[in-house]
Amino acid sequence: MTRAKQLPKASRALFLKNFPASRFARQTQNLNLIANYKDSAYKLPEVSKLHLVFKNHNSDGHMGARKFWKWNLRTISFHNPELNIEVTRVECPTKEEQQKCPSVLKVVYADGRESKIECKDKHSDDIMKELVELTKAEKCEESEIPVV
Amino acid sequence: MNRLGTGTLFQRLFSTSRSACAPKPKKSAEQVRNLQRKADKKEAKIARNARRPAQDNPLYMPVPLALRYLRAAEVGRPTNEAVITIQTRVVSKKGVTPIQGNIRLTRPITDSQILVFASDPAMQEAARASGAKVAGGKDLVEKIASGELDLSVFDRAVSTPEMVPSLRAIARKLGPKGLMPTPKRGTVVEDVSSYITNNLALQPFRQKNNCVALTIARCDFSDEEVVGNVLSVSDAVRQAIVDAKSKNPIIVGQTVLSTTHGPGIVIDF
Repeated sequence: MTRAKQLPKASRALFLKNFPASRFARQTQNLNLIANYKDSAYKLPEVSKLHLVFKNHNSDGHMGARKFWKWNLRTISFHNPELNIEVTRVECPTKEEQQKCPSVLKVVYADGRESKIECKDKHSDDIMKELVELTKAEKCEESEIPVV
Repeated sequence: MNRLGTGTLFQRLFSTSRSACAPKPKKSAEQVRNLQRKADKKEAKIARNARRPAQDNPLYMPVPLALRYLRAAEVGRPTNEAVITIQTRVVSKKGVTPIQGNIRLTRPITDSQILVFASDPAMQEAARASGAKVAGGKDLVEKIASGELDLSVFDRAVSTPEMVPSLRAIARKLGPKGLMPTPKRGTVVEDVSSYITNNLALQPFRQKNNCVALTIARCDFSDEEVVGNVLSVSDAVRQAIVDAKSKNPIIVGQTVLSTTHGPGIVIDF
């Protein structure tokens, strides 16, 4: 914590997420995580749109969807620049609404078909695995993934 | 000599005075010279680093690849939140006036919708060519009076002097939207089209803390549009340095492209 206190405010966030302390090393790791988050560098040639809906807060099993957006979806977007990705976070003030609110990943294919992945009470890695199986995604080759 | 064994009355008593009240020891001439030398060395190092090409930086990327990373970092964010910004280091000696100027972005971030009142058809045509959304004379005033034209889409209005008397009839409609042209605000001008190109389409910038920082695009802009805007910022900053006419040199240093939530990436400038 002492080292974190010395750092300027802007660079503290990444340091606290177990990134290296050096400025360049921290930035390169951040860039490499965008390009290649674990098990997420896939191409989705059959998909035209992804729509992720989840609640503003973590409770009632919505944490997996949020983490999927934060880590996995960045890498998917990096390798599929043409793919339309939409994220909707729902504001739920009352307890009943919070329990009722869905946490789903809607997949729209190029030929107009639609399917859903239920994300409630699931880990982000499991959502990623399910998406890969459902859409027959192709794994990116090592040469296609840039390393800073 | 007094009872305490000290020579003067001004010496401190440990029992009654705090150490913070003690006068600071003066720096010797040698120490001052050393500090100056250190500061000069630091300044020279910053200038040397600024002259290096951007490609030497480990975080350098060509703009299209940088945009791929930045768009990925902004995935799922609303378009008005996910904006691309540029930070340019300006290296100059202490005391040099900060640079400032105006930029005409090739692809503006917000399309300002301009309403033009002019009775001369040639003037209307010229105003439309320079970026006005709607231009018209008496017929336009009647349209607004009858409520045919939706005024909520416009954010600026300009008029020629001969149209001002007829505008009084619709002042109650224009006024609350802030669209009423007045000579006091400078929105009543003879040459409307040159006013639009010289004032409304420009974005001012200023150097602050050795940096020029600007919002130049949104993440949904195409690569060409972003590159065009970067180039127009580059031209404007270099022009501002020429216009400053400073005796000491001003150098354009490292330029970083970034987004609201994304990493900073060094680019050519």
